[in-house]
Amino acid sequence: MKPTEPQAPYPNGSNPDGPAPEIRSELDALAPGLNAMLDRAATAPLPGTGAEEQKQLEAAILARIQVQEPKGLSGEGPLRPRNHIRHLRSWSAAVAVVAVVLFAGWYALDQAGQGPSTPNPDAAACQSFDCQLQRLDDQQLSALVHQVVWEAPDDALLEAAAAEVSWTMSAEVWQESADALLEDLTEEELGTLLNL
Amino acid sequence: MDDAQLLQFFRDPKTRQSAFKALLQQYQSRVYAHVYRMVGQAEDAADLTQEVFVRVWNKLDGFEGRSKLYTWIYRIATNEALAHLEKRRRHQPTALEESGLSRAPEPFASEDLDPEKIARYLQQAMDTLPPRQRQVFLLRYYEDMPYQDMAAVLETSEGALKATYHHAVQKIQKQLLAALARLD
Repeated sequence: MKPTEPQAPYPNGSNPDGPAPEIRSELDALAPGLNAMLDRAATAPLPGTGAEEQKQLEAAILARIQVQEPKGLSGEGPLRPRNHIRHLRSWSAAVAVVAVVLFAGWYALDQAGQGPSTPNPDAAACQSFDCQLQRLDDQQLSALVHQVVWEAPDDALLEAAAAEVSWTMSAEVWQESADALLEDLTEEELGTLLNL
Repeated sequence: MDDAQLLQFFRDPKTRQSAFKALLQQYQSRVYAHVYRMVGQAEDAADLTQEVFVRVWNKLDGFEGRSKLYTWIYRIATNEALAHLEKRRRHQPTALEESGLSRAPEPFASEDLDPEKIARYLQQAMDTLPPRQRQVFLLRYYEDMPYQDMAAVLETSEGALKATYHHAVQKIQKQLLAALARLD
């Protein structure tokens, strides 16, 4: 087999000279000859890596974060068409998730003999995630779910929820920040919320 | 600009935007390339790269510097790509077959020495790997990532990573070296 000296630059990897010598040696030991093939493949530019395409991508990213910053929330902005569709889908599905969550909260409270208008006044007695979730008002809950949906979208789950529930909520409610509510949530708790 | 300077500028509202632009210039093309190799489609890779950097923008204030910045960003990128692959698998279980990505690469003829064709065959070979093997191969070979760093990114042991890398390489070798032998 051919020696494993780099035959071409690796413009799309972290190291423009290609893999480090120890990684090339390791690959030689595992698969003699593969280095040469990968070197040759590396001379072909990856689709979408042209200067103009990357410039457009950078502009799209900057547009999203610049629009997003004043609201401190959901990355709304001049999305590219496919993202726009995804955004709308997540939006409508998120509404459905809120409905599911609200129903679960109401049902749990009802089973416990409490009404939602009389939340547990003793915060110390309500330390668990599930308990705290039930104490959220509509705005808090919707903001929380909005944030969760944006940060950890799960289209399959949300679409399934959307198929089950039809529900609407004013746009203003969605603008409420959920940052404070999210501060103490673990990933497990977020997962719990998404799986309610 | 090193990571510490970049973070310092990012946390100052006056220099936040310019710091983020510097971060993009430093990492955008690498993240895109990584994501592209994970998902194998340029348009999806561009969308996912957007998502990655929006997340970076949102979360960078909370970055505690326990890992290198690029390790942290690559972790986000890898998770985004894996989530995308899982979604694609759930929503379009036959899409890979329809697109031909699940087929073994066609045998190489001598005229297939064209690097673009080889790159395409390589991408097809990588697309046949399970996502975990694919990401380990990409991080190791293209990102020069030490096993120790990979273990932090992927939350597993170095031994498991070495085994995974070995399996990934063997599968790629199986599909590509037969063709290479014919070329020789």
